[in-house]
Amino acid sequence: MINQQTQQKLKRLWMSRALLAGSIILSLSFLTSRLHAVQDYRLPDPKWVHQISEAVEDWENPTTSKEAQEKALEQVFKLAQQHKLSLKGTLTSSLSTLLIEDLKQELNQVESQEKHLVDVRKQHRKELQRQKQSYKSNVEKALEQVQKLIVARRQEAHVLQTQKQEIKRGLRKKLTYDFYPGIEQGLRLDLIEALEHTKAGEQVFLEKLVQRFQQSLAQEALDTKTVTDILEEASEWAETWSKEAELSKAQSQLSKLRLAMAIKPPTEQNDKRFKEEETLRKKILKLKKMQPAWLRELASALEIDLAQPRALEQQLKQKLEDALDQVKQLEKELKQETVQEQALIASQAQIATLKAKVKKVQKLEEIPNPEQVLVRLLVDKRTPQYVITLRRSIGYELAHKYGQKLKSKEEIKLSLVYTQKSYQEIVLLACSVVIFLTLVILLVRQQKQTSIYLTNQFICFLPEEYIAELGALRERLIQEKRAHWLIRLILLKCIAETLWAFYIQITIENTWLPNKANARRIDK
Amino acid sequence: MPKKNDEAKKNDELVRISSLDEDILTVLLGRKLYGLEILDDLNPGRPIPISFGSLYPALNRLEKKGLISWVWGDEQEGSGGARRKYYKVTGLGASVLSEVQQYRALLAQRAATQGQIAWGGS
Repeated sequence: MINQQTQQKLKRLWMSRALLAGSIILSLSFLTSRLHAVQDYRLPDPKWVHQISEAVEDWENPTTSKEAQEKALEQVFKLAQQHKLSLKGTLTSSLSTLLIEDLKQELNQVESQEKHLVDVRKQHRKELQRQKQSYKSNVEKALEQVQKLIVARRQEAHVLQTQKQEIKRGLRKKLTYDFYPGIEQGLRLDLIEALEHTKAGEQVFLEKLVQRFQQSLAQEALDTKTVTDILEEASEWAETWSKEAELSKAQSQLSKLRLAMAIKPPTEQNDKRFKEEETLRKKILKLKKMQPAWLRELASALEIDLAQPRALEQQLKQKLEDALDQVKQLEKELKQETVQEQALIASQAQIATLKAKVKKVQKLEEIPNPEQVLVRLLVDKRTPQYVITLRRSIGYELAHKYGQKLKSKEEIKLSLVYTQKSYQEIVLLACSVVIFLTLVILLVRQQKQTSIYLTNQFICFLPEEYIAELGALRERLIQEKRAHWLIRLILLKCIAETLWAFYIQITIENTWLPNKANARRIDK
Repeated sequence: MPKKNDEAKKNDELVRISSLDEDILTVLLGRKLYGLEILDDLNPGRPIPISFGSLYPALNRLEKKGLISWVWGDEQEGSGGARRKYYKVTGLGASVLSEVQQYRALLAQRAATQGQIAWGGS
């Protein structure tokens, strides 16, 4: 059995080990943090900084010659390349102000353009609104008129219907009362002489005319058009027949008279004949003028009826044409407006891009990278060297800010404060290194002091029988003359396995296994 | 009377053992061995050798089930005075093992006879 002294000793050993390990971890973390801080305060190489600042001064000095300036610039580039300084930074930082100004100017221009466009757009919209309203009112008026026209058309249709019926009635009346007697009377009165020779033709014409009217009456589908057609036809018939008959008769009489006149010298008979000729001519004129009165009346009535809707139609047509013109004009206006809107959108996009550019440049200006700051400070030439050394500790922005504005006293103060701080950091780093080293030495010494073998040191964590078994295994391995490192490796593996089995596997299994109190009776 | 009945019930309960438990019981039958010796007896010819990590839980299991018991050995100098535990099979352990072995023998016999019938042997 392992005695209590060794057990206590082992416990103390493990405790001190744990303490040492903890303190080592703490000191190591402190050391790394201090190391980082010291690195922050690390001074840049003064030689090259000095060189680069001198070169920049030469480059910016107006009194120096062009060749010297070029040389200085070359040196700046060379040094920047050597120390991995981005000279793009200089360009951006020095150009950024100019760029911002340019961009701002451009932005102002575009903004004024946009304002102008917005004003024009507003005006156009107003104009369009007004035109739309007028167009609307016109269309409404036209619609009203169309409606009126429709009503009028309906009324006209009704009137025409009644007129048609009246005409039909009148026609019947005329046929019954006026036509036959009228024709008979007219023909008898005016064409007695003419019809003497052409009685057969008259009879034929009359028969035909009467037949035609009778047919149309019999059909009873006599509308205005057919009535007018028939009437026109009838008048033509009447005209042609009467006129042709009269004319042929008169012409034959004239030719006879002329023949007589030509053969014989003018006598009393000739005078008579001349007079007859005159009377015949008058008759022809009369016949030409002659037309049935009721036909003329009917045609005039129909013309009047048709004239009214035609006038309305023409009016409407005119209005519709006006409306179409207005629509075309509106379309033109709309096209113009879309063009303007596109221009507006384009200008807005331009503004957005310009704003983004300005922001980008401003950001560049606000948060420069270390290289930018450094080179910027160098370019500014008034910047003292130590401000560059402070850039890491007081932040880039501050360094950038103070690099240009600080006066000499403040600069000195700041430099003193930060050099003091950097010294403090270095001292702390040194202390932490010393502590870390002492702790490590202590740990090593403690390891050397302990004579108990590794397996036995685990007596605090593992049961006694496990340690005994591990000890037996170690002895066996030694007897087998295995390599020292292999023995250690095998033992470490076994320790890990037993730790796992004892603390985890057995603890879990014990939850469902019976206690020792429930041992089987058979043993007793 | 009720106490007696409970105990009888407990004795009648089936004790389940794994193949590793059976192997350990077989090794310990009629002998007293400590852990490393058990491993020495078990591992030769075993397809997957057993380590301390699986031996100790198995021994704990058998002990909790009452199938094995142990006694302390002498202090060992090499291990700083730590003692070994010598394990032995209990009566229950022996009976459980014999039951299992009988079953295995029966199983083997049954397989042999069925095999003979299948292959047309006499």
